[in-house]
Amino acid sequence: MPNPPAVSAYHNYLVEGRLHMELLVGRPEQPHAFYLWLHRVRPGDPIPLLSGRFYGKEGELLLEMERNDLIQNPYGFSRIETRGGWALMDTSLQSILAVEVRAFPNGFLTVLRGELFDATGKRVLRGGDDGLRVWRNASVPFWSPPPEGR
Amino acid sequence: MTERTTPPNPEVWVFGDHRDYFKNRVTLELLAHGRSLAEALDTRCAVAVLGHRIETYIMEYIAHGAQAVYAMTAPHLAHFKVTTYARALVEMVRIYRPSVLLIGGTDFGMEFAPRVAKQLETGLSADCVELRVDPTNGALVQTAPAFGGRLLVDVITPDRRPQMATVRPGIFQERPHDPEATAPVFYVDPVPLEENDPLEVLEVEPLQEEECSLEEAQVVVSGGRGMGSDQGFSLLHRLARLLGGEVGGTRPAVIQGWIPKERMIGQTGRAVRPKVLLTFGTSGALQYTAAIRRTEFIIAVDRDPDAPIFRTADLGVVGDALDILPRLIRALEARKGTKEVSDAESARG
Repeated sequence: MPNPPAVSAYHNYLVEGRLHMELLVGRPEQPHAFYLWLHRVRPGDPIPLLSGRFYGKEGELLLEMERNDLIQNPYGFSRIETRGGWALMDTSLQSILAVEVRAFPNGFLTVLRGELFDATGKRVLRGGDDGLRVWRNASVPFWSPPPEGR
Repeated sequence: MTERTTPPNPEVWVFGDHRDYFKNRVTLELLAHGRSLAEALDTRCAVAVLGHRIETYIMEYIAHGAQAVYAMTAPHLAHFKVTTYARALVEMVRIYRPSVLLIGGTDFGMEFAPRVAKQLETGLSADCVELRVDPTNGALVQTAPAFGGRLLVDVITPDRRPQMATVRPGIFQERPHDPEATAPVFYVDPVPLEENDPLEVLEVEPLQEEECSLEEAQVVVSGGRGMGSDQGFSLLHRLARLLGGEVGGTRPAVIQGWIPKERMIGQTGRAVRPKVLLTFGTSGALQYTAAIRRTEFIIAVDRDPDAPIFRTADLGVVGDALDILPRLIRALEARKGTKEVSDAESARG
């Protein structure tokens, strides 16, 4: 029987009500395709660590980020610190993605809020209290690494 | 090594009792011992956890040695309700068929484990003080008290599975927290809410108990029937204050009302593992010595030179605790007084 995705003792992302220590949705290798990569966070790393290429409802490229750094940003989005995390906001302070980091005595849990679209303007992900939800109509690959068997 | 599939052999499971977590460590203790059992059985040690919004506990169990997690989460599992929880755990066991199932011997566990065992039609050994694998046949040998605690017996469950045992808090030692640990988490579909369930949890209010940290104490002063009265126990409290320790007692002392039951040391009470235990007027019944065996150094005082406690103690004093205690207290108070005067003089220069 195959093992389900691995969960970390230190930090995880809440996706569809379940814990994931690392997750990739979409196709980072294609230059004009949506992706969101929730990277594994180890003790000492910034929390959380995100990469992604995000589009608007019209399929326009909004931004691309690599390990939390904005590398393509035609609309002038900013990463604004919020209580418990940060948000990606446009010049009118509208957030497209907000991350909330819940801390407990020995670890961290990241919850993402917002809506993300692919390069055709289809909704791909929506985040809320139960974490990120993958929109089932979206034909994006969904990958999570197997456990490392410590 | 990357572990992509479940191990070929049935797993060792620990039930995740996360009530009062951070204070209640029994699941972590069982996970640590479960790891060694799993190693002997060439399998892995997993935790089965039920509840609602249990992400923290899942991560904590992984950090403390769980090599896999089986989680059932739903709002109606938010409270530890014995009927629903028994149904849920039985469902998980029937799906994944572990070889061993260990449950903490807490108040909840003592009611919960027999229900689970009955529904699974398997055996259950309560209050085990040792669990090991028989290398000849891979059976779990469950060492548990019998005949009112006068004997320790080895129990095996040759045919039925899982092999079930409960273990009191403090018997085993937890593993250190490892933030780098990872493990797969199997999410199991929740059992439905029972219709017409006669038991409904309306509210959970934590019991206000006397603050007692016997399990963590570095010095424990303990007394038994030989202390004679609650005045005798007041001497133990004075000694414990002088030594910066905690006071415990045997079952007879609890029955006499000399010490509250939260401070009972024994198989049906608390297990202690201090650096030093001073035990006065305790004969050394098995159910008591099993709960003090992880102490680094035991000093025993008893009138009976043949008392079994002297076989467990590192240092034995044959004498009346009520004669020896006042003298010991006076000596310590004198030393403390001398030290305080000396410290004050040093401070004055």
